[in-house]
Amino acid sequence: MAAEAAAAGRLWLSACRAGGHWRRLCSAGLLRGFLQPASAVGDAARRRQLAHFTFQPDPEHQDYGQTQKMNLFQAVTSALDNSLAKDPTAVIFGEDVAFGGVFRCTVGLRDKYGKDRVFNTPLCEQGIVGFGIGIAVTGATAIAEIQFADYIFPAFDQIVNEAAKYRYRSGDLFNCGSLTIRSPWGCVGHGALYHSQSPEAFFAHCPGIKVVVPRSPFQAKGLLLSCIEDKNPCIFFEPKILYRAAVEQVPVEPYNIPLSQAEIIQEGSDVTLVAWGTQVHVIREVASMAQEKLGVSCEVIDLRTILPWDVDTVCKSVIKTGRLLISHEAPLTGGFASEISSTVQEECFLNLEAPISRVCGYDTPFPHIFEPFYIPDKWKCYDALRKMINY
Amino acid sequence: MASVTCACWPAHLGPAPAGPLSLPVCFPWSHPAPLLHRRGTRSPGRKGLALGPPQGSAPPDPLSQQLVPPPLTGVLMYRDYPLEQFMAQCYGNVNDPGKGRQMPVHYGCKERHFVTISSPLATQIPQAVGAAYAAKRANANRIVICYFGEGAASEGDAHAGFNFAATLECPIIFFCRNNGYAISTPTSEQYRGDGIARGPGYGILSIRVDGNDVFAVYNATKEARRRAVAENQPFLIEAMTYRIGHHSTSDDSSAYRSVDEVNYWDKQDHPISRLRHYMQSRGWWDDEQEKAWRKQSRKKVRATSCCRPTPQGTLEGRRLGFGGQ
Repeated sequence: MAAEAAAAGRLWLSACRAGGHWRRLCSAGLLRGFLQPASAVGDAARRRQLAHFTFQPDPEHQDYGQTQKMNLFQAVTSALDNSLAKDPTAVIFGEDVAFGGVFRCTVGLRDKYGKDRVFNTPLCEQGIVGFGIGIAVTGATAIAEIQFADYIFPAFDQIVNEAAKYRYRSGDLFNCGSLTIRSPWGCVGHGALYHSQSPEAFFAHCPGIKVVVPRSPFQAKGLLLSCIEDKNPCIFFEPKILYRAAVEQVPVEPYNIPLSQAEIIQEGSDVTLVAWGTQVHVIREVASMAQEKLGVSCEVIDLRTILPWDVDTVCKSVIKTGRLLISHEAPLTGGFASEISSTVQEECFLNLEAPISRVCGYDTPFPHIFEPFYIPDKWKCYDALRKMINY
Repeated sequence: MASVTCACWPAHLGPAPAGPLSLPVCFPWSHPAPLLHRRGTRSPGRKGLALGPPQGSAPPDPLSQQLVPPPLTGVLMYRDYPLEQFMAQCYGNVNDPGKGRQMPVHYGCKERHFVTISSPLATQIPQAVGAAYAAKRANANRIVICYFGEGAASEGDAHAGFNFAATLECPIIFFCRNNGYAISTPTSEQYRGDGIARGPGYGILSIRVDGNDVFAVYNATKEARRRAVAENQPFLIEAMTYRIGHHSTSDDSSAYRSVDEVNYWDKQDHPISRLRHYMQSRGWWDDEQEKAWRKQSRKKVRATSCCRPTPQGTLEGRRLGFGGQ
């Protein structure tokens, strides 16, 4: 593990020297995060690796053929490899994707498929998305990478005013459905304001696109393939803290996980817990704590697709349990939990035993040194759950 | 890549001649002009630009453009887009292929490779570059031509588009119509450099032409297209012209410019007049034909605008605008 990380660090360094986001990444401390001295053992190293969650892999899936141990970034690479293999029009582009990408999601693809299919663009997010829309309008498959979700905002106009509205405004004469935008998302332990954001709520307010967040390598590959094949422009946010931390058996061949279908990963009867991405593992642990300490049975739901979201699954669950807790890293006000809460109280008002609880990030920018206090950790979630039970 | 069937280049025009242009070439240009005029548009400078490029860029290449419709209407008209469909879009009635979803003059036509116009400015520029890249990959021997005004060229998307086109070696023509005003903002308040022919800063070969000279525009575009296909690189054409009319029906340009200025361009440097004089000097046109054609155009436009079927069925269509599921 340490040796692998050190090797990754060396690859990292040589790539940065070749030009790219050296300054940006250095200041982010991400490089430090990946480098670990070979002698790192003992308490100090364990503390540095301490995360607010424990990744829980799914049991190995038998239905999709041969599987291979993959982490999340390798699962993404596998999905991209499958896509480029079967769709000759598919191209991947963005900042630094040619050498393999700052999170190694595109390693090996340029050598395998050629420099006209996997290529760097200038450092310009509005250009990346606009360019991707143009490719998609011709019918070719465009897979754009925005290096961090925090930097997606220059492309906001192209996404919201153009991509999302292309089919509608032209009366279906034109569309950019074959566009997929991938972007690393969410807290990573040391990312601070500009390497930790979860901007899904901004895009949830935009009819015409789809927004998807996976919780694991297996989910990531299946959902990403569905996004690429979907006939609407999709944004696929990849929890960066899971790129290496999440490892499980993932099918080598392509497979699809349907969009707009939430997954009940644990059934329960007393409280419904809803989250997406990394936070799913937090609420899973909260469910165990609730069972152990309070004898409370929780139904845990991974929303998976933020837009359009699976209203039926969530409401059906709340009708059964009568209590709902939603948790996300993004700030509370205007976060996606507010949309879920609003809809559920409309649909399930008479079934509710307690007000719907939202455990989210604070209404501040995402801090650096204060991250452990900022994020909605298992203790905050557990506390909120207890209040709901005792309401 | 999906291939789209397209209208044929009119066979009788043959390959575009290099020398002084002949009647068969000029005639298709002259005909749409009064029709544009009769529709109430009064921006002939931009008409010169509209009628020039398409012929230079045939067989039909994808057109991606900014919303400044009266002039670029000529482009669609040149590709035989029916008057009825122009009107239908403006009225948003049941015959509108755009299904009544956008404000007037937001035209689009799949068969003629004319990508539907949207209101945000310059957003089409990087999109056109992407389309050109896909065309290059598909070995289609096609280019994309992208139209925009000097005002839109100030947007970040323009910078992005130019830079991407150059670094990714895309077969695209960036065609800027510099007509002196972005609504009320004169060019002196839009840029301080040497116009929009700023391509060399990006590594893009650029040319500035007299936008009211239809032959100049034609020749520049033709050559740009030839080289864009042959060399897989972008070209930038800045066509200098003047906006005689108001920006829109909500605008009264006497608030920010003098009537004398407008009259000068109207009388002294009007592209339609210049073409007409050329054709008359060659004996291909005369006042009688001019009069008759104007009358015919007026009649045609009036006849089309009298048909206003009621809107219906515009609420159909996919939920949330999603399609293809």
